[in-house]
Amino acid sequence: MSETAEVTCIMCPLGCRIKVTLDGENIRSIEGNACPNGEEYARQEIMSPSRILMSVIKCSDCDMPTVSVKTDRAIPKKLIWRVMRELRDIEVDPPVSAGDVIVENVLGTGANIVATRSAVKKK
Amino acid sequence: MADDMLDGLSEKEIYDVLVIGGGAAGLAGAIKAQELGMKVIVIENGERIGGIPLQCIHPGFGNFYYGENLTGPEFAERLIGRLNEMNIGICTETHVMSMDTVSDDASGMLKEVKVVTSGSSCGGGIKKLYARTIIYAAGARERNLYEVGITGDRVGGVYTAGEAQTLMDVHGIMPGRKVVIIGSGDIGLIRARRFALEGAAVAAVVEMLPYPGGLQRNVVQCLDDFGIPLLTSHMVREIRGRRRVERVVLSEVDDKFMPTGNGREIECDTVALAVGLVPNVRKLEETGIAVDPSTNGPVVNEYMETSVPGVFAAGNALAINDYVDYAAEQGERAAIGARAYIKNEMPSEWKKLGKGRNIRIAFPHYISGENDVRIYARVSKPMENARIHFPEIGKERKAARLMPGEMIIMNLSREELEGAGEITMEAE
Repeated sequence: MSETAEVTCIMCPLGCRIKVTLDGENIRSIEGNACPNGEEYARQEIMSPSRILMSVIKCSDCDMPTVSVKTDRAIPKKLIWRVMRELRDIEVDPPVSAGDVIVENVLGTGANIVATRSAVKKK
Repeated sequence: MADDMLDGLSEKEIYDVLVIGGGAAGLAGAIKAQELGMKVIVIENGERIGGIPLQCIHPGFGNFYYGENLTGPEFAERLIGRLNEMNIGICTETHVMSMDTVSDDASGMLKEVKVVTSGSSCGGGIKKLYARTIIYAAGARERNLYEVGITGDRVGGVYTAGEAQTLMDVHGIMPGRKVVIIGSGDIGLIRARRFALEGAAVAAVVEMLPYPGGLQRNVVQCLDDFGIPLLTSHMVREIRGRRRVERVVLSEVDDKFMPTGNGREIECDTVALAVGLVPNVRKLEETGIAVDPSTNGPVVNEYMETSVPGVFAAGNALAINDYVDYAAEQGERAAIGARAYIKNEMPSEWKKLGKGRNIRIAFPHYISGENDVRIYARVSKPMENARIHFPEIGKERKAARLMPGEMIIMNLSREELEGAGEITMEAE
């Protein structure tokens, strides 16, 4: 008994609509992707959907009062809310450089929270 | 009038290129201009250079320009880093009051730009700056409530998407807790996700068209991921409340965008408007440039030169671009144009690029045929299994799907343009 699922690829602006045929827990076929990234994305999206998370954290002493951050790799979708809650309580001090690791291995996901915007001490 | 002002003006005070706007287009233009050996100054009206990407914390920047998928701040910082390395002059907190063309015996025709500056980077007060060319890259403004026909009470809690972004992603302040987003372009979709991630309830994203304005991937990762409803073929007619927004009144619309039925209400405390951008060309218009009513930006030739010789335009001040990468490359193109203008190497004959069937915008508007040229265009309606076609030169490209929200890029080579007169772009 097989069932099908449709996944819209988010890897690039094309937005391929990919048909995934499942046989119980196993993927039987993946169709409709224009490139290998699409196949990988569809597999991931069915087995364990994940996203890169972007947000801002507080930096009261910075020239801009927040520092923008991202996870340096995709984290499981179901952990997004818990990571957001972690970020809410973090405050960093200037200076910050884009690329600085703010939180290592956040919630054991293997992903680091890294700064994407630099900041200097406010005048 | 200005001749007396030029008395005693020494060569070192005349810039080759004066860049108006320190965003992606302006900075890329300034860097390119200095790389080409020209003397450059950048005028920015904000406190810092970097432009709007600095507050766009999502990725999608730099895929073409740097070959990497960066967030907005990372993209801006690369440009700023390069600019600083090159010691390019920057005046922040500096506003352009007027732009004129004046003549000087020693230097010929010059642009005179009157600015008022409150910053420390270029002294305070009103000043006049002189340059051989201007690259105008002042970005875009956001359309407001009244431009999309929304009425109702004058209440707090109504923001443009960009204002909400500045509050949330620069200042760390939440504008509200229960939000209706008007407009489903990428800007509206991305803002919906940010509100949701920060714990606000996004009651709906409302779109007048029968389909979402933004990319499908953004519908998936910004709305579907968070269970945010998208109401297509709907329009918000009124915003109601006493001091603060309390609800919006919306209706379904027919295929002529006329409201049908009695409408219904959605309770909310905040409205974020993402109903499009308009090139910020007021200062340019005062100089008498020709404006294209379809882009709302200046008419330009392949060097991004406007109808005023020596004045170039790039980025969202030229036309609303899908990607920051396009804005940056237009800035570079304008810098190359500035050099051609200064060296008196501008082509003397221009052929019009015509808009044929199903093409809503296409620029540059004039091409010389002497150079390879990149055409930026949009179709006027969604099309499947389409063909983009330039009949006069027999160039064509097939496209599985064309959407008005996705810019079409076509490169025409000098060889393909050889011997051609006016050319037309069409989609069918």
